[in-house]
Amino acid sequence: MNDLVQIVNLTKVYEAGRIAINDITLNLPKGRIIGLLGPNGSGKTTLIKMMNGLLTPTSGSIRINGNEVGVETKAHVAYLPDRTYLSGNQKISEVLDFFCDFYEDFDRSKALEMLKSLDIEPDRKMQTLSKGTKEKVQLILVMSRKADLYILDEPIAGVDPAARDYILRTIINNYNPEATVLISTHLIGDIEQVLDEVIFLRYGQLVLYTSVDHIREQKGKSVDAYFREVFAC
Amino acid sequence: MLGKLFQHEWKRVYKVECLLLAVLFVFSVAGALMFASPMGNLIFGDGGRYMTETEIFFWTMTFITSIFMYVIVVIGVMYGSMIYLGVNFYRSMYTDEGYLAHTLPVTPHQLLGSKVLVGALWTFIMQVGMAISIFLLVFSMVVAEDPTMLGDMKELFAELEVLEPDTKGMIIHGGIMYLCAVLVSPFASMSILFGALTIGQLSKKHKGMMGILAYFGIMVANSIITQITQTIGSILAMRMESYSASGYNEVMFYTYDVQILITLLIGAGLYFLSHYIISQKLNLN
Repeated sequence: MNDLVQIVNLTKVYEAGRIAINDITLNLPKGRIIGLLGPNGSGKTTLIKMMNGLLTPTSGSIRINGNEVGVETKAHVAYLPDRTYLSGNQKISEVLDFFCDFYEDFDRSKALEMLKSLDIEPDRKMQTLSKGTKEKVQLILVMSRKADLYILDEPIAGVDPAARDYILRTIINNYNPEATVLISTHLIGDIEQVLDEVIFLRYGQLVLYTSVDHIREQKGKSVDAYFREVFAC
Repeated sequence: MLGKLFQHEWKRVYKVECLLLAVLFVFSVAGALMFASPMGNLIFGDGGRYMTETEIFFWTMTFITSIFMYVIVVIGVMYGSMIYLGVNFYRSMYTDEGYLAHTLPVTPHQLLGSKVLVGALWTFIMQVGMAISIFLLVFSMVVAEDPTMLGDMKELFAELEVLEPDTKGMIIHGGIMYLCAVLVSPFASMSILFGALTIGQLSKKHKGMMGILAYFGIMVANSIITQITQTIGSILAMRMESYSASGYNEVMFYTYDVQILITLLIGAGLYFLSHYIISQKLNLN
């Protein structure tokens, strides 16, 4: 079995009956870079949060490496949320210690190397960093792990084009090649060249799951162009 | 993993908790020094020296103000510590920082347990600090008012040695229960506090506010239960008093045991409820 993630009949209903994810069944293979694409409010972050155990599904199941979301899966999933989750009082070096203590697959020297390449001093406190630098530090933490699954929620949103390039380079150069990378974004044009497969979500429903090559060959369009066609208002 | 979580949680809170302890220490030492100094003699009257009414009023007011300030500081430190531990718990579990806490490869028991352990340990340290502080202050007041009272206190302890076995037994019973309460109640307090904040997560909106309301609700319920127990205990104790002289005290001691047990049960219940919510109902915004 080559599937890393198995999602079966997954549904998430928020308060007031708002359906965020509607009966999704999906298998994600190993060793791919997959784009999770959809307009705002399509359910991307909800799906990602359920995969990380931050939201409880209303029904259905998620299995990663055959395990239900829990201690075992969290040890093998490297997650970059769409917000800063590090305490402002901590120094970067303390955060590195924290990751070393809890993630066996965390490579401290690799993290230090990446920090050095960006001239970020490990002695600096998180609260003294700019928003963009905080995001880079979080990305470095995530990509310094040798995880089976990298889940990156909007990693290039809200950063300048130069930073986007750095982030994409960091992802491509540092992820474990045997792992799967799931990247959520709506900035498709910037990320298209690194994707193997794409998932289109709309109103919590799975619209499409296919390879990038298939879209290019069958539809004769780029993913960005096809996305615009599918989600045209 | 519990050890590592404990270590990191300790690192998160120790600076503020130490600062609060330092404030308590400074006020205690300052108070004790004030009462032990010649000023203390003036506050308590210096052995027959004539004082005008104005002087008496001044020194009485100085005494009342000092004690009032001290009580404010003690209450401030105790509640400050508790509020800080609650805020820290909420921030690390249910705000953006919770995205890290809940994606760590640890069980909900380890996550929750480490926070309860650290919180309880600091609450215990605060209680010990407070007991030392009060002892220091009372001791300095005793010395200032009448140094010979120290001898009387020694006599009091000597009298305890020759008490009736029943009375002695009750005192030992009371002492053991008090010790248990001091050792275990910080765990119950933290479980109740963290449990209430976790219950707030079940709310659709204003989760933090709902957590605070849940805390006050639980504390009120606990007080009502304690009062009911106390009333029942008192009625039973009065009835027992007609059968034996020590009956009243015995029943009251057992009532105290029951109250401690109820608080512990509420603490344990809320711990397991928190665990259930974190593992089955977690919905981080």
